[in-house]
Amino acid sequence: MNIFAYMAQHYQDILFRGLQHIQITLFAIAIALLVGVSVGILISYVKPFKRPVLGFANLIQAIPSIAILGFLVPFLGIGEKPAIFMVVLYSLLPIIKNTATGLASISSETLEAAKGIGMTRFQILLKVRLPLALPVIMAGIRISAVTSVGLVTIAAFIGAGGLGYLIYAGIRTVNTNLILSGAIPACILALAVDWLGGFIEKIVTPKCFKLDK
Amino acid sequence: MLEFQNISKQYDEHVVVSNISFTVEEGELVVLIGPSGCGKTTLLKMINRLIKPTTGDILINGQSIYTQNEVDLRRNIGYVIQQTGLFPHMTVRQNIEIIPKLQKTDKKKIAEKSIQLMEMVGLDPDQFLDRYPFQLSGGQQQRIGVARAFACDPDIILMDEPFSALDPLTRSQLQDELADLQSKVQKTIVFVTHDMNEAIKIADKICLLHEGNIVQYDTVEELMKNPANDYVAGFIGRNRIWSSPEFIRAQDIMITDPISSYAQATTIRCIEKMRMSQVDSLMIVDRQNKLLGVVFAKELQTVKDTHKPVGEVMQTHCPTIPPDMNIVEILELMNEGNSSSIPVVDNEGRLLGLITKSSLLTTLSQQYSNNETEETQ
Ligand SMILES: Nc1ncnc2c1ncn2[C@@H]1O[C@H](COP(=O)(O)OP(=O)(O)OP(=O)(O)O)[C@@H](O)[C@H]1O
Ligand SMILES: [Mg+2]
Repeated sequence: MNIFAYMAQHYQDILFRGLQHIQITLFAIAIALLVGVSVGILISYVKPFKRPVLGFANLIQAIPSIAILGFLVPFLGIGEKPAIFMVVLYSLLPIIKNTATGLASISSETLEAAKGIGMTRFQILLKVRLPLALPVIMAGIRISAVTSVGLVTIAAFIGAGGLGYLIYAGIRTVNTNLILSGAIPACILALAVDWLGGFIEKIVTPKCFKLDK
Repeated sequence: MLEFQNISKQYDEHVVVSNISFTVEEGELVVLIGPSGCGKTTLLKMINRLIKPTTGDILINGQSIYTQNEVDLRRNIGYVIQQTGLFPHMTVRQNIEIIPKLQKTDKKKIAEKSIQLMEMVGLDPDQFLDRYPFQLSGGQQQRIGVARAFACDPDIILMDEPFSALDPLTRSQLQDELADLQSKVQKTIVFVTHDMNEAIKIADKICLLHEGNIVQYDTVEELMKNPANDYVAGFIGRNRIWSSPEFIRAQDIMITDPISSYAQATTIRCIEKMRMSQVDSLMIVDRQNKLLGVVFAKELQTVKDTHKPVGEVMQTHCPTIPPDMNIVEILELMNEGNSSSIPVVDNEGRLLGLITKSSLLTTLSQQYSNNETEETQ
């Protein structure tokens, strides 16, 4: 049977799995964003934390995702929970790293001016450092978001559902159409997330970086 | 009033500022000047507590800055730096208004103040308030920097080489404007530069630093006329005074013991006196040394009655000048009046000295004799 005909026929199932996929991804990204940006800010203020934290985040990225899932199951069981946990762990590094890099990239003159005219540390963070670092932070989030879409696919392996479910079911039953009806939407989703990320990046980029080139 | 009391700063073993004390009076513009690395910026940043001195204290109006809240202190001190002091992601308006907004000042007041500040620094509010810093020229950015420093109406303003990255023309223009502005607002300003021309142009007082010590702290005029030592003289440039001739005053170049006589003296005696002293004019004074008039040799020789008191033939309406008139004005006056000598009198009319064409010539010729010994700048 033609793949498109197949997908049209099973669109309800695909839609359901797709939405599930989006839901897990969004949830994971939201957590990774909160944790990642906070940790990124923390390590740029508390310098001794910087190396161990980045080292740890790097280490996690080096572990295969399947291995992490296997490791998590005894603690968190199967289903969405370990899946989200794994995606968050993987997404942290780019976000932490870019937050720290973005915050550190602000010229010392600008920071000293901010301090010198009487802004508190918190006001400097909120009004100067974060807005100026936002494009870099956003780039990190975008990388994480795109990888997350792929990672959630793997998470179907431990029963998290999502588009990966279709792929695994297809592999088990040697049904190419079923595999593709999971893989194609997952691909499109990744591209869409990337596009959306780029769009948001553009919006949050302060005007000074856009027009001066 | 801003007082530095025994301020020292040490980084490890390296002494950057050693036991400096000086006072900046209210409404004064003091320039800290000296070669690179002499500690100017270090001293400046101590005032708004960006740098903590190793020892010593700084007082503002008698109160130690260390007894105040750091943030409040800084909000009462304007701060302008060389470049990039503006926040690139904020518009001119946001840059100027940031602190007033954080202080929750009334919105209407803030908006009015911004317009006023823009006018103060000579930029059209309608045109510039909503631009970003990168959409402004370097000179315009620095003007905004100055405007921001004035936003909270601080009593003290600190400027660290604010104009040094600008082209000479813009720099000179901004210096003029700052001097003009300062004459109106009379803030206490501490200004760092390494450019002596800039210092002379804007300063009330100059504090010349060398390796963390004050070499001389004086008014511009004193510094130029009486450099404390060769280092100061060298730094100023020996003939710098000639680029600011308005600092050369009548009292510096006048003949301090002009030949004079009382009004009762006879003309014959006066002619004799002039001949002996080889002068062609005589100052006529009373017992209190008040100037009554002047007589000239040429005129006396036409007087028939040689026993007439000179008081009856002297010119009583000759021009006189005060001791602080500068050489530029004196030259103009001499040109206009076509007189060869002008008496210098104090405000009670007492004769202090005399400026003659030849005394002027002597002063002016020093410029050239000095030039031979001086390195070219
Ligand atoms: N954080 C620091 N640690 C060690 N030494 C420092 C530090 N900051 C400044 N110095 C030293 O202190 C000295 C004075 O520095 P400062 O910035 O006050 O010089 P400056 O007079 O402003 O010079 P310039 O005209 O080049 O700006 C310099 O020798 C500098 O190397
Ligand atoms: Mg400096």
